Amino acid sequence: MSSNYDIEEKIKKIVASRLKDKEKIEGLDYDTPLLSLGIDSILALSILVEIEDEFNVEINDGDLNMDRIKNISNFSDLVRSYN
Amino acid sequence: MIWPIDEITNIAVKSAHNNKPYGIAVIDIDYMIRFCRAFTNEELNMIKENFLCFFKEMFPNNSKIWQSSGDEFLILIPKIAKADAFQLTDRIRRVFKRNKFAVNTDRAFKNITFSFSAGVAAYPQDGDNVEEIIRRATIALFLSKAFRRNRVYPAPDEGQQGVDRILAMPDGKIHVLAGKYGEIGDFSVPIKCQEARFWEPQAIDIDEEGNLYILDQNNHTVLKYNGENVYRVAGDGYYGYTGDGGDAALARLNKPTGLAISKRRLYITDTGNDAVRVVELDSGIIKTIAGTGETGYSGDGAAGYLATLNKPGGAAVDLDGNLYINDIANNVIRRVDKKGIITTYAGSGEYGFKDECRAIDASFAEIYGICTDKTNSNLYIADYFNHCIRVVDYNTGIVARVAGTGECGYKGDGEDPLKACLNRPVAVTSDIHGNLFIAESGNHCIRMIAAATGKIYTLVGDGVYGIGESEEVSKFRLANPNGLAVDNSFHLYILDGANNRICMMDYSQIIAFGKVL
Repeated sequence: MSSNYDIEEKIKKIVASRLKDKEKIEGLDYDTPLLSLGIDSILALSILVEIEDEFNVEINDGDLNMDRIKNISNFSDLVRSYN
Repeated sequence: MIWPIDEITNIAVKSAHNNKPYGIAVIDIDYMIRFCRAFTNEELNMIKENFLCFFKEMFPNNSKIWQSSGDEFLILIPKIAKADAFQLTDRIRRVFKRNKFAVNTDRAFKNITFSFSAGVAAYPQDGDNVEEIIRRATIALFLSKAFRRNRVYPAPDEGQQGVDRILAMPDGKIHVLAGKYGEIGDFSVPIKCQEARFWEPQAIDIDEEGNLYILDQNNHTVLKYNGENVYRVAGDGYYGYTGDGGDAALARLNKPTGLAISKRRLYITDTGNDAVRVVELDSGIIKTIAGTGETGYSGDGAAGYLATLNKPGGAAVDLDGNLYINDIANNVIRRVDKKGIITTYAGSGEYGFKDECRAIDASFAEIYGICTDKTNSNLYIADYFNHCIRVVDYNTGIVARVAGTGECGYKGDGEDPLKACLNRPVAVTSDIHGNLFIAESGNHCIRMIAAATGKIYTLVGDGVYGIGESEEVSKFRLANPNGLAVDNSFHLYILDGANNRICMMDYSQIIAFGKVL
């Protein structure tokens, strides 16, 4: 498993790759609410699947709710909990 | 074909211009029929619309999507290689199974999730025309459904003819009796056998007079072939759970998957209703013999119609009139005796392989077809993921393996069946001479344990799926065979599942010469 910083950075890169607006990419931070970036639930789930592939984990569906994937920090915590 | 081939071809031809690859995914929403019972038609349409919107959002913008009248989707993805099309579809599956498609209904269970199974094929690897590529994607879809659904399968590469097989009847002939790959039909009126078209048939059996019965799952019916016409004997063609006490042909079933006939009684495992129905063939009256319509595992020791089952599948009846039901999701075999009392006959419910013990203590890895032999001595069990055939001796109640080492494969022809490898056996039947026939969905073949030699051989198929057209058994291919029946004149009927058809072969020469080969 990567270090804490690596996890956040990798997830940030994945999220950024899904954004089209340059301004939003530049303003992206670990605690930026994904909803404010125009990321809807389907896109959030797509990002989740990409993150699963990146870190080779499979998040249980029971662990999923929007509160746990509302920003990059949450996503990172979720991935770490599978370490 | 349920898809508009000309329209798809037009788009595919453009995509294939300059030899650019393209992929086709055929997607089937898993267990949609169960959801049909939970929602109104209006809600279902909304959910299906949500599926469509989802696929539009997830597949690349240049993809083209077709939706069947039911719950199937065909997606053409231009400029994509097969491996990428597979990976993309599988990723989409993982998103799909977590998304909430019923959230805009006003239901307490609106947060339920759905899953899908899919098959993926591509140009040019899988063929040079759209029809062939769709065919191979559809076969792959069947494979993904055979492996418990919620998965994506790439169309398998065309392999070489099975080198390890030994044909029991190398110069034998096989005929397509009814059905055709890619065409579905209904049976609102009796229809000539050659013109009959099925919709995912799941089981066949033969009555004492030699009439063939066909369980046509997606038409929610049981059909009878009387040597001339095919017509409904149970189920009116629509899903539901109605009609007990009345004419079976007007009753409603829900995705039935198994049947057994004995002494003018037709037993139907009404899988979607978690019940077993019985039709008195003389009167045509249907009733429920086991199951309440609720899902569960209860009621042993009392009347069958008070018990609960969980997805009953295969069925068999012994010569004494006791009914055996493969209670799939409970991973056990239940028995309803002549008095109508239900008990658990085999299986502890645990998933695994425990053998050579009392049947009730044994474990299985998904049971599919079951049959009783003609001497009334044994119950044979197709143990799907243990890749073997098990038998319960009626006298001792002990379970044992009769074919298959447990290792998945295709070998051992000409040898002791206990040393042979099978691949996902799904149906088993026997004839009056004690020959045992096995349909292997993974090997796309029918094997035979010849009573005369005690050895296992291949009757038809070679480990590679296909749509056999020649009458030569040696060249004929099947796709996911999933049902078997024999009559007393040595005709073997084969349900060629993924090809939506029934084939028949005369194996009397094996009997006449008293040996195979």
